Amino acid sequence: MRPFEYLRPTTLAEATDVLAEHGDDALVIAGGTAAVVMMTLGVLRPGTVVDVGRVPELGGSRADGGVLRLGALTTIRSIERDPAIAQTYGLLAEAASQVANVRVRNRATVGGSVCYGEPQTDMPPALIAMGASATLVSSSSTRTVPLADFFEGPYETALEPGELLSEITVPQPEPGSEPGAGTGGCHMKFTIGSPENKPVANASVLVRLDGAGRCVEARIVLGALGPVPVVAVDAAALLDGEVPDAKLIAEVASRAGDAADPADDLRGPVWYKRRIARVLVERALRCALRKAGHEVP
Amino acid sequence: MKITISINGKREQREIEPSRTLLELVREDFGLTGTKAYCHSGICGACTVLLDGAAVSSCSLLAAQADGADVTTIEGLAAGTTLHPIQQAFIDHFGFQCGYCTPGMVLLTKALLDEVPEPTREEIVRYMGGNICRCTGYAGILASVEAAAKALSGEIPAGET
Amino acid sequence: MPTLEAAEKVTGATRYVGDLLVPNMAHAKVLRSPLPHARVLSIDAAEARAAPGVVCVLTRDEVRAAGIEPVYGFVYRDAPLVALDKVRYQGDIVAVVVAEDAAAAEAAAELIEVDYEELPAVMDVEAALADGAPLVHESFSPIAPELRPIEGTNVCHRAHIARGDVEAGFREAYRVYEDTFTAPPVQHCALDLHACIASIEDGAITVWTNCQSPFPLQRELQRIFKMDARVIVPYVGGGFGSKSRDRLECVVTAAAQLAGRPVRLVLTQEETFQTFIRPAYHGTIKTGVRADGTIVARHVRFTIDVGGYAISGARSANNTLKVATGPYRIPNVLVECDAVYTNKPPSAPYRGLPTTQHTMAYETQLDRIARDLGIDPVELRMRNLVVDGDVHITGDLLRSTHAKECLEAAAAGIDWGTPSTPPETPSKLRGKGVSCTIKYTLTPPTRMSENGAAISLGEDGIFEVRIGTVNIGQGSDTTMAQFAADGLGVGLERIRVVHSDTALVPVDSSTTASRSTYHMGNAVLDAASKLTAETLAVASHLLERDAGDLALGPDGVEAPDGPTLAYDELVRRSGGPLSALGECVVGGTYTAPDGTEYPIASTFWSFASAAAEVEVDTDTGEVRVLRMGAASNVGKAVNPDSVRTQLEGGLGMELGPTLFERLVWDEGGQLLTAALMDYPLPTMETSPTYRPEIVEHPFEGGPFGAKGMGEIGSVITPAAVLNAVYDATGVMFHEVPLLPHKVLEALEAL
Repeated sequence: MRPFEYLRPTTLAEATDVLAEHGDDALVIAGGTAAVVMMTLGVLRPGTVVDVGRVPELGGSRADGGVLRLGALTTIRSIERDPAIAQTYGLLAEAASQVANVRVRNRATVGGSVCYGEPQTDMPPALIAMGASATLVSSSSTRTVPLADFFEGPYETALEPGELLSEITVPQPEPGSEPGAGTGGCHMKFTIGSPENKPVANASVLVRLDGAGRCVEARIVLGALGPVPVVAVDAAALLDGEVPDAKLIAEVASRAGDAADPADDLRGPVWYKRRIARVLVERALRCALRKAGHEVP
Repeated sequence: MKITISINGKREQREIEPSRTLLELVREDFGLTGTKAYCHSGICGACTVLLDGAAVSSCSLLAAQADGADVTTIEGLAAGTTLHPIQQAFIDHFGFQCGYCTPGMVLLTKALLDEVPEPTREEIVRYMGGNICRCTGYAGILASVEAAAKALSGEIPAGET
Repeated sequence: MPTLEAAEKVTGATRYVGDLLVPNMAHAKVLRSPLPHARVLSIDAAEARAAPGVVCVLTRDEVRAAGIEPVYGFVYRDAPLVALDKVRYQGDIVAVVVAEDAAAAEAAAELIEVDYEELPAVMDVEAALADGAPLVHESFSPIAPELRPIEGTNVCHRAHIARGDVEAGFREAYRVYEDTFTAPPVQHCALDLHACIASIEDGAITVWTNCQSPFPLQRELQRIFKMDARVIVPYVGGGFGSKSRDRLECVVTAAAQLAGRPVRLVLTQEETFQTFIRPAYHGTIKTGVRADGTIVARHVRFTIDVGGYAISGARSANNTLKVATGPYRIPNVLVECDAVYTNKPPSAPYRGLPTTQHTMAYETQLDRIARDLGIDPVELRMRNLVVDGDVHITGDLLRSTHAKECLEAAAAGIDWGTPSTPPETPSKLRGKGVSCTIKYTLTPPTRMSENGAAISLGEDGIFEVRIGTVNIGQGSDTTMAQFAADGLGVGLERIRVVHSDTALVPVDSSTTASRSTYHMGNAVLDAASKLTAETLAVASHLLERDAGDLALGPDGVEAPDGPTLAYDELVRRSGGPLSALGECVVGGTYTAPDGTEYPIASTFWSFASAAAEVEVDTDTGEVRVLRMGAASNVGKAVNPDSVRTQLEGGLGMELGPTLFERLVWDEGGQLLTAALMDYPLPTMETSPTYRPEIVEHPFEGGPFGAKGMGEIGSVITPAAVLNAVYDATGVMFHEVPLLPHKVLEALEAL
């Protein structure tokens, strides 16, 4: 690994100051699971590494007032294992449990997994499906960006030089207002070989049903199927006000597959990735509906 | 830069280059070569160590990031000449051949059983799934983890795994 | 029983080459070619030499100036230490930078400027065999006498083997089937990265390496550098063939000579993919059968892609001519092969390759025949498998075959004949398949001693067994200690094993091709027998008793009526350690009990079967192997636990290349699957349950009846899985890996 200047700010203000000073030449690391590997491989050769791992303002997670606030340093593993998250934000926990391997999940942070901008990873689709936003801070400003607008291309995000992602906020899914109504979420991925591998595709689905089993809200987000996560708006819209049956689920899945924008690569040709998108959406949608209290035969 | 780190229970101070990984620190600065390297990308698990009790890939962590932490390597598991029950289980159930992945496998098992003392087979497979072994086909490793869980939970006496 | 080194391995105390340090050593980094085929016009290393921490840079200029032999190779002398006139694959060695630490060497390597003239590359065998194809090597230099290059082409070896009249056989056949099978290259992914340290002191070389062939390497070093050489191989963390021949040791020694101090090189995982790979296979098999399924003729034509250097690929192709028609009694057979240079990395054996691919071809085709003729696949095999007394394609008399028993045992492991449990959803299909194989071991063409073993009884009363076998994880120290203990009649606690140091152990050809248990085992037993005689003779003198009345006991030489002469005391009183050298003579001919002489093309033939049950997801094309049965006739299982682990390990490893592993190059010759993140390996999550069964029928001539089995699990895997998928889906696949998109495509074409 090439030598670099190593800075370890201990407050958020110090961190943003350091970033303002070093700008583009600074690489922010948190868990390090991706950044250290990229530096070892020589893909990244920063002059300065800013380790934000000890900035207290970036740590901690809490649910209050109908919002889950995940400090950027919240590890994937703690999202996976936190019973409170599992209960109310189950989709996030499910996606977290599928990230890479347990060694990575122990170190990797939610902020890092979003800022890295890797198209294949599991957290962005789930966070987008949950309607999450990122808080971006710099030495001079603070702004909030919906995660649906955060990704700009492979490894490219809305982060400006000098900006740091401090927190991700996730609105609590609205509970059903009528008896028997419910919310269900499901994250699935398809890999060649072991599930730790980079996936051919992944999909996050969130649905909310009313007491009659009608779909009040649906979000479908695909990962690894384009330069950025694909929000399948048209596909999800087919579910509006409907009581999903097998035929509708197949239609939704097919429409979602059309929304995908995959590239031909080692993990398969375009036609195949679209097909996998359909299969995943169909399976994840059925699973989400089941969790929401509606089993489709 | 100067870091303070507890390695296998011993507090140590070292002056290091910030670009050193924890893997390099452990192997080269401390001479603890039981921690192995292969993929250098956080995938294979050969370099697994416990960082404050959690399994991590020491290749994908700067030594500086471990400043102040407790690190356990394979050399820190046995009590003197008495093998840890997990190590004994790997011997008794043929959980290795060439032994190169073994330190990582044993430490990952330790992390698993510390978290989930009586894991189901499914839980074991999911947890251990990331660590690569090229020799055994994994059957012996699975049997070793199951036996270690039993030994540690007192279901069978240690040493009779 | 666990291996002797088990406790050392679970505590991390085992030292592999990458763990060793030598005083004053410097660190090397290889500069590799970015192009698959190019002329090297100029190399400017001035800036690198001046970079901080750099000790020296080795290029073709330094090699030429050193007056050493610039080219090496085990069967072809075709591999330059560093590129001389050309580079022949992406990753070929161009220069070596030596620096005070590895990071400095790596940084300096980027400062070397190389001017290349790009040449058209041949990235596969088809391109390499085309008329007017660019030549990877303009001339040939085989040193193994059996190799037959075709001048003016890229074919570095063309050969055939035949028995009967294959055309006549096809004419009398009821039906004739022809299929073509392919398998892409993969890499072994032994976790212990290729590494070595070279040191030259007082005019002699010492090399520490994880190469599986220390003695051939020693000879090569002596030839190149014209000085004495010692090769030390500590424990090795797996090789599977990727370390069967040297690739780094000679060039690192040249770097050490230039640096004037010891030099260490440890490759990265990506670089191991540029060092040795398993070659691409392409084979066409034509089989004629009678209506009852009896095979009457078989013609196999295959090619092996040896890559840029024929370090061992050409010989692999040649060796497997003799197993390409399978473990079947076939009167008319013809096998032809071409080993072909391309601009890929050099190829190496891979746990039995290409026997694995031959088995895939003939076994998968056999299931097509079974289905066509309406015969159960196991039954069809039972009708054709060889039995003791059959004569093989090589003319060898087959003994201790028991191929049918292996098949029965393997098939029983997955409840063959019972339908699969229905899967959870109708979109999944399950099926079962079997496979059988025959495998050779490396055998000299003429009768000779290929290896030796020494045992000495020292003043500590311990029998020290000295063997050239490399302990690569297969448990060879333990097996040899067991042989020595049994041969001497003492307990294992009296045995110490010293392995693979050319200065300390007798010559051994290599630890490859499942050869050690038989060959080294026999040498150890021979040494044990000679040492027993010597020890008894000495004791007889000391005790003044007839040697015939004495025997080796647990702690000393025992006389029937009482006194035991402790081993340490015996050595002290005899004036020094006792020692004996054992050997194993193989090759030549075998004389059957009726006096008939048969050639020995293989010291022993291994027979094995696998059975697999799979589940195919018809939505995604994913194939999961649920369970596998396997059985091998090992002659005698010296350490049954090790045999089972070895068998399971072979099955599990080969599931990677069967299901998803493959190396892919782009059109420009760049490897796309260079790192583990793009090259998935089997994990615990993709692994089935195994039922490994040992079939034991002592093999005459084997140590306690044992024969080798290190690679057989691998060899039988792809065919069993392909046949199970065929059973589940009705689709017969002609290639591996069974990538899900290809499976889905085939299912939809039905």
